[in-house]
Amino acid sequence: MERYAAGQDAAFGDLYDALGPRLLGFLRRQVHDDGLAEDLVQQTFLQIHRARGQFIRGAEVVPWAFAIARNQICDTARRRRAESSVAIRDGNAEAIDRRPSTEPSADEVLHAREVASRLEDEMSRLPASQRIAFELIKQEGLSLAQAAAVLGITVTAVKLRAHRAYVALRAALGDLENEGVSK
Amino acid sequence: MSCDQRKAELLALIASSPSPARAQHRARTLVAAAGALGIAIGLFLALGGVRLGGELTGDLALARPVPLILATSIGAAVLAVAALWGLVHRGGSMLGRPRGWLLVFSLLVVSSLLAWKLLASSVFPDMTLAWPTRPGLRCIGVSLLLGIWPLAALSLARARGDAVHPRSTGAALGVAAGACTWLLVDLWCPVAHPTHLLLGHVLPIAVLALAGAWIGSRWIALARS
Repeated sequence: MERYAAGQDAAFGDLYDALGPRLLGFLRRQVHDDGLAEDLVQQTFLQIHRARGQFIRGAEVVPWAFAIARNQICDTARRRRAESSVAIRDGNAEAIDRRPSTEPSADEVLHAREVASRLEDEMSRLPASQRIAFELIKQEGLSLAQAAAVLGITVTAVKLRAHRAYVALRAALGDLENEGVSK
Repeated sequence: MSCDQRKAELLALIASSPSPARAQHRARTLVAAAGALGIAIGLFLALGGVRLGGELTGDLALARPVPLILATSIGAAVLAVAALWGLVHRGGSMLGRPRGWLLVFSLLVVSSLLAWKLLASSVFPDMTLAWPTRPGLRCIGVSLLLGIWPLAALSLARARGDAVHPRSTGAALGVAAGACTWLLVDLWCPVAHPTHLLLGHVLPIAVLALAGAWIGSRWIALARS
């Protein structure tokens, strides 16, 4: 990003390679629509491109990119609400079904699919604020301070949201954990 | 669409809509800041520049001692620089300073400006008297007239760059612009009565903050996709 902000246009490719897959994964998990997630990745990079002149030397790129991506999600959700169209999380089951599987054995596949499906279901039931805080920390590996900056809230609030999500998921998926132990 | 195809499509999109790099953005910001400063100082001089005093009532005139003008203006200048650091500088993060910081710092800056003006003026006799002919309306006009230029320059520097809280950022820029304007208005206005200061000097900062919040939601926020 440093090189790109300094005016080296060719550095954009490297930036895309470094950030694109992470952003795509994050956005896919949020919107559960591959096509939409890809569009939002493009929009996120376009925003980065437009604001590159404002990039502060030595600043962290990842939290900024995630903040822009989150902004795109909110924007899309708002637009969809305004259009009274289908909810952003529709097509959940199809998205899960499209996921590739390594299929080591039929039982494991069945169990893994059940766990993934339950996890997706439970994640989708979480309030959006808790879900995003949980994913930024647990899945994207952002620090509490980075996640707080992305969400524009305090570190304590992020901790609380992520903890609530964790507790809710644990309570909801407790039976699966017990099954795993018994197996 | 494959990853490479997506990347190629994005590269084509970006090539078709060039954006300023850091050096260009900095140059543009400097030009805007210099322009805003020039306009504000030009207007300030056109309005009469530094004024020592004036007619308090029909038969009584008051003039500010030079040490008082120096004390209040130096204090205001220090606080204006503090406001630029705390409210405009992003603290090394592209996400800017937290909303709570911006709010607390804004309140601190405004209350310090007011407190310093009152404290310094109270040291000199008659300097905090009420001026019946100067309730503060002219100062509101002058503050807003001088303050919109730095606000415009600061907003231009941050245009389409805030991904987290553009309204708060805009409001903070408004307060910073107001703090810078306070210095000029302080040199221009000899009145230091508390009610006058609240109406003529503090209220315009609040108005600039509101204007900044409005600009923030429209201009500082990222462009809608």
